[in-house]
Amino acid sequence: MGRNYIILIIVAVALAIGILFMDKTGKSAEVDTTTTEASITDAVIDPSRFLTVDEVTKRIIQNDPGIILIDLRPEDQYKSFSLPGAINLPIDSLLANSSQQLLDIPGMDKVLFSDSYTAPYKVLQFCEKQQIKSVFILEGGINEWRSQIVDLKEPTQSAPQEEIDNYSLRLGANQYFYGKKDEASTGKKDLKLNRPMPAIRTKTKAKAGGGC
Amino acid sequence: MIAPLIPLEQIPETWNNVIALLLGMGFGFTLESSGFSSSRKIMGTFFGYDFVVLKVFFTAAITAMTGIIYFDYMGWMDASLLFINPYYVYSAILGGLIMGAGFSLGGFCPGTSFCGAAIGKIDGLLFTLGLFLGVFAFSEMYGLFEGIYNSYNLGDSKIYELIGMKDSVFAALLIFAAIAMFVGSSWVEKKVQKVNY
Repeated sequence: MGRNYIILIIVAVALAIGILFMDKTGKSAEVDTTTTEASITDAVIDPSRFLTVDEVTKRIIQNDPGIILIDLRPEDQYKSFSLPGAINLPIDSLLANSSQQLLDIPGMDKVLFSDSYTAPYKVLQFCEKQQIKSVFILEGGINEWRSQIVDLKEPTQSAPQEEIDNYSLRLGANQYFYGKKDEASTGKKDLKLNRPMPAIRTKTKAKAGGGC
Repeated sequence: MIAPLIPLEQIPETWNNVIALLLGMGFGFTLESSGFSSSRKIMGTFFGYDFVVLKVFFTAAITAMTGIIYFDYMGWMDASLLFINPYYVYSAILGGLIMGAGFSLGGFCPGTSFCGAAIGKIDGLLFTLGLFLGVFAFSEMYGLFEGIYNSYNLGDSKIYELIGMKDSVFAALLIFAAIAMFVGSSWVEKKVQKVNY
């Protein structure tokens, strides 16, 4: 057996002995059980906790007063791009009183999003523990919003009807939020959609006069 | 920076595929440079004249395991966030038997067959073709296998939990088993007549 083999064996034995005598008692006390994968999965296993980009888009366009969009990414990312009207709540500030008050506003649907599911999962699980209701996750997060609304792509002629219908809504949303010109109306391209673009219902701006 | 990088949002999730591609290229390179694109080398494990396959994979497994344990202990990684494939008992046993039979008959596993195919080996190309045919046949007949495929799911269980052993004891035993395998296989290699290929 070569010298290298013997050195490797000595290192492996030393590491194995190190593992045997590893004191995990201190560490296990520090481990926050709320971040284990199993607990995260349990909290978000309910599909009704997810709202699609289309559902959220409709509610924003309709000026639905019962929805709050919460961007969980760091402040610099939030400032560079976010959903219209979203409030920034970086995951680090979750334990602050103001954050909990925001999440606990009664009668409002809080829609969480980030650029992955980890932060929304953690916040949702936190809300479960605090018994905070009406908290949802935006399906696909900000990346899905970007691909469906901002970088909208025209469906092919052979695309299913549902996709064409969704495209109409998304095109409307794109114009509504970002003012992108409709290619069909500018004559650049004939979209030949099977259905006319649905009218987007927007709330008339009435002065708040109290009452219901 | 604490790992795992993507679940903890140290790297955006959109990098997943890029990282997978780079890791895949590294894996393929390691397989090829270890000589795994030769089915004769792989068959050496079964005939006792070359145990490189066993050594490389066992080394990879205990290196990864030891790394995760120490990184977790040092606070550089949260091992509880790592994804663990769910353990479907019947699927694992049946799949293992089929894969083992294919491995010993063809001299390749899926990864090494791609390596062989990439450097233009005809047996590697045929094996890869067979792999796609197998995937196609399984997909077409999924309805037949669905019951057994999804049955007896033990979730993200770990061996040491199933046998009621402490994780540290199991890890140390696995390292000692790897050392014993290294020494034992080297002894067998000396006893078995060398095959030149």
